[in-house]
Amino acid sequence: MNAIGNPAPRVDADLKVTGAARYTVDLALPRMLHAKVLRSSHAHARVAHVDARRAAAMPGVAAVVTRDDLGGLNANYGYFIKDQPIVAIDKVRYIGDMVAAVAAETEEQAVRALEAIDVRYEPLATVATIEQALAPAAPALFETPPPGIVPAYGTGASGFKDPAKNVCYRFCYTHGDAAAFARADRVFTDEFRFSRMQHYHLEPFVTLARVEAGQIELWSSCQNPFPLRKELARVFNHPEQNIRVHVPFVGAGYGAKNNCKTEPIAVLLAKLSGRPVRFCMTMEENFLTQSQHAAILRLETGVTSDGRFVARRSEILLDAGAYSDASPLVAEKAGYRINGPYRWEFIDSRCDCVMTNTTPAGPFRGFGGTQASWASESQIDMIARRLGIDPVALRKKNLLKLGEAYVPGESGMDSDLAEGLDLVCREIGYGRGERTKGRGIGIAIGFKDSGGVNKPAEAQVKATTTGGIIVNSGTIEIGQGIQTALTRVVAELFACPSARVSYGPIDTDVTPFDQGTNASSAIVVMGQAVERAARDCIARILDFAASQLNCRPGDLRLENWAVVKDNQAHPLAPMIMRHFGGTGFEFVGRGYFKPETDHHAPLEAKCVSWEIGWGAAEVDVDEETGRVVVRKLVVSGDAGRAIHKDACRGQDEGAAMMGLGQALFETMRYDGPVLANIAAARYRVPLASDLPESFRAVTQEQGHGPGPFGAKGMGEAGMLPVAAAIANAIEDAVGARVASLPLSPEKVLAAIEAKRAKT
Amino acid sequence: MNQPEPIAIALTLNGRVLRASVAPQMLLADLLRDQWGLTGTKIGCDQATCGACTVLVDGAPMAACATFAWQADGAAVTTIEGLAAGSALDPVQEAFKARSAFQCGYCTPGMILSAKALLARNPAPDRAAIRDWLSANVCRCTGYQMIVEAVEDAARRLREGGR
Amino acid sequence: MCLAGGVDLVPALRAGRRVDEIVSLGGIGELKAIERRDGVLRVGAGVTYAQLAADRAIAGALPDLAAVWRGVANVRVRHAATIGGNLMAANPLYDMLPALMALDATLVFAGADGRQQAVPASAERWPADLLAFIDIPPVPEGRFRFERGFKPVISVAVAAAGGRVRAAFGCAFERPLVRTFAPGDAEALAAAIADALPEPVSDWIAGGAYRRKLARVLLARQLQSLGRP
Repeated sequence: MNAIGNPAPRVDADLKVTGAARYTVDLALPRMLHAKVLRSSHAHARVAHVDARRAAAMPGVAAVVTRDDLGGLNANYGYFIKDQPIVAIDKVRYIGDMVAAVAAETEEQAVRALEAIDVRYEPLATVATIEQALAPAAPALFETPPPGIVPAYGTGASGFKDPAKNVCYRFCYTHGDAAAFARADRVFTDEFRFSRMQHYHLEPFVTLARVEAGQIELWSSCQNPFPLRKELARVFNHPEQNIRVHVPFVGAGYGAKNNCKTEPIAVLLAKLSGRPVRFCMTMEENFLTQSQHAAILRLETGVTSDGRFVARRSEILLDAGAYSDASPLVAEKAGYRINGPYRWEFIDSRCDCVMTNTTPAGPFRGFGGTQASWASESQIDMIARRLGIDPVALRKKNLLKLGEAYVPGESGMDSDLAEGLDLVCREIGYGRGERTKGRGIGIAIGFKDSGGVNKPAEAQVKATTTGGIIVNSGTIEIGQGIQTALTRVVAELFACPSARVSYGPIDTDVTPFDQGTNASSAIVVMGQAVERAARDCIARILDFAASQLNCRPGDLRLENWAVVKDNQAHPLAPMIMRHFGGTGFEFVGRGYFKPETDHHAPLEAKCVSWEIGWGAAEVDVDEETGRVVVRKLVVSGDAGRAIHKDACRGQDEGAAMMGLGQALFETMRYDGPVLANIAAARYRVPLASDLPESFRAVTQEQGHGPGPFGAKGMGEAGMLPVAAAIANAIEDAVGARVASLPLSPEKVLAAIEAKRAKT
Repeated sequence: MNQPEPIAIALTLNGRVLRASVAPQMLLADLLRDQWGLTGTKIGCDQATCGACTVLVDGAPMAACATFAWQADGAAVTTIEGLAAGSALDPVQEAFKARSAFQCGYCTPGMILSAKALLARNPAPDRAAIRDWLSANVCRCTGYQMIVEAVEDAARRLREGGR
Repeated sequence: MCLAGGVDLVPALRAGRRVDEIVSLGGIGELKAIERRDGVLRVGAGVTYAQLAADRAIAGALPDLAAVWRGVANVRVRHAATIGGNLMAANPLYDMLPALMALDATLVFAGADGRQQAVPASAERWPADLLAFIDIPPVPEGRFRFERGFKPVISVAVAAAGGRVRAAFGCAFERPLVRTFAPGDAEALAAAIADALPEPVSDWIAGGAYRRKLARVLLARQLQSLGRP
């Protein structure tokens, strides 16, 4: 293989190391205005009165948006449930909820104008936690349930809208017979708490919008431009073909940059002012826009005394924040993944999205799988210790085999799970060496399906006269290296140097459809579409060459922009110009991929792939202070086939450090409905000084993936096992279990003292 | 309210002397990005914490979002745009490129300049010194390990005769 | 409003604080000097963190202070931020004040009339003048230790000089606290002093009870460490 696995640098390297890479935040248009938004200082209140007339008259102000300016629009957006208004209409539901917006010549003028907007609030009681929101006397965030859908599900899965007050969605999955619990020798019920982080993407939410002559055009730091276009068409009652979305390099997202964020306000202000509008949030505002889901997970697990998993009943409560956003989809996945890569006779999962007066929670790396892996992998270790069985042996006894279906009707595992487990055990030195006081080792297997749900992708590959190849695909380069991966796949198929393949810009007018850059799906879904597009393009080239050489296409092979027949190479460029004239031609191929719709599969299509993150941690616990130092951290993902080894390694290591931060210290601290540690100065994220003394990701290439050349998706798995691995290592070290994140020294010390008191 | 008087400044930017008339409250980041169109210096947190806006001022790494433009008067300022000589990358850039020590690229200009400042002071830093120095720059994508290795690589390249 | 490194002032200005005039202290050489006179270390308020960490006189007299100060904040801040700025920010999480309280240092303020006023670092009130110098009295054998690895929960600085031990606690109270006592058994002293501390702050960072526990454990360790060279 020439391009696949080649260590040559990434295609975006030069642009990024020279600072020449342009992001939405770097773009400007002539006569551009700057937008700022007024945000609610109340967590829950009726908006009695909004008056922006004084603001509209202030120097430099070109347009103002309040609820009075939403006429003719479908003013609420969302995923399954359309509940989030462009600006507040009847109520505000969290501190930071957008109430009004101003576009002015300068940012300073816009900020001053905000101060001139009169808003009168009638405060309501607030619910800041899951428990408060579910209390019988809790105020409802939505007195009338907003419009929304429940999608079709297959065997065993079901969804419900508004099943209870302040619960906007419920996902359930079940298979097997509840009587299985009777076959369990022991039943363990444990509760786990998962914390809440902010994505902390360094490029903020930002849009530059222009509305001219009925054309809406925008540049946005967005992960899913096509769904965004559709949603904007619905919101603005604007023909979809007259909305055009461009996405340049995106300065990270980790899930946050999906669907409407800055776009509706930017577009509306551009419409009203007749000028381009740039709406760029500050990092503080990012904290008030999107977050990860905190969760309470209750697992009732039945096992035999020799450690066979029999039955599990799970109740998961996700803190969805003030608007539904992607919570119903996260609930699907949390509820579906909670059982991990293991065999069960009976599963009954229920996951609820609970509304609270806090920042809306949405897609965050792991997407329910992070929460699920935390709880499930922690409980497995707890069960192992209670049964007196080694935690690794317990896992091995129950792991699904390669090819074994996850659940009835579902696709089979495309990684050998035991192989990965053995690898991380070896790397961490599991079971070897003397025991040191206060030191322990913990293992965990993070688990999620990858590839999205029933996800379609289309791609185009064009070849020019002289053999330049252009890949048109809607997958966003957000840091993961997908431009490199997809162009390498094409280069391999064309048997040409990688440098001859470029990745086209993303423009919804011309780029083929992609549902979104998410779910570790790019290489397994778009990758298959790109592969088919490349093969289609090559077929057309060979057809053409065959007609020129008077032979059959099957007699020909493409190599270095020549066709080879009977060991003789015929260069294509002269052949093309002879036929088409000196101006040449382009060959265009299209490719499409979507898993087949299948009503037997719980999610209406079999999962395309499975993303596994094996993790192992060695920790030292200071028993007097509770401080935990992670001496060694190993994570491993299976790339199937690593198209660019460093890109794969980087994804797993980046994800693992995110997991380390969540495990030890990073969290959004809510004091009631007030975010106490909003933004950079007070919100601690992992730094280089937080690196464990020994840290590495080992990329496996087991070769069973559905993507090109056996590739599998990466990007999330590295994060999934880390928190549980560390919690398991702490228990191994000092015999104390902490079941809530973060594993702060205070909590660890409390667990140590509680254990001491019991013995 | 009085409009403050603009201040005339002159500074050496990437080797060239440039003059400007700046409002007292103008930030160096805005002078670089908005007035001079050098968008390589990125704004992340805008609170002098994340380091994305790191530039070198007389060789010292500083947060451009927390430095007034007038504070750079008379100084030699280096931005990411000043590292490469035409198409020849600086050894630190080469190392980051060869080692894929970046992902989304947003922290990369600040990270590279920060590394440059380190290697100018300490040509053979050990891992602890690199981690400590680079803890001034947040990277949310890479997990830092590959960046540390790239800096070790850059140190070796510089010792073996790079610029 | 005086501007030295600007590490606190610039973000405050950007957050909306309004000032009419900014006076840059950058050109005042005397504020950037570190001198040793009769064993007293005089540190100019304009000395940067990096300067302090690298200074020979400091490294010789108080090696633990120099070592710890190499790790404060980050390299960017260390090259810009000044000791004076750290003190004048009056941020309970900042490190210079507990260190100086343990060291029994004196702060020297300069008035517009040329008059200088010296107050102990641990004084409740400071003069509303320009902080010019920090005078650190000699600490034999450099018996000063500073544990800031548990920030922002708590930091503990201890120094032994003239037959007395001083222990200062940062981060855990509205303002750092200092306690002075005779040397003795580390564990017993730590328990007694930690027990007698006022209620530490309980906030989103940590609970007061945990802070008190840490105060005891860290103080005991620091006192034990003082006993060793």
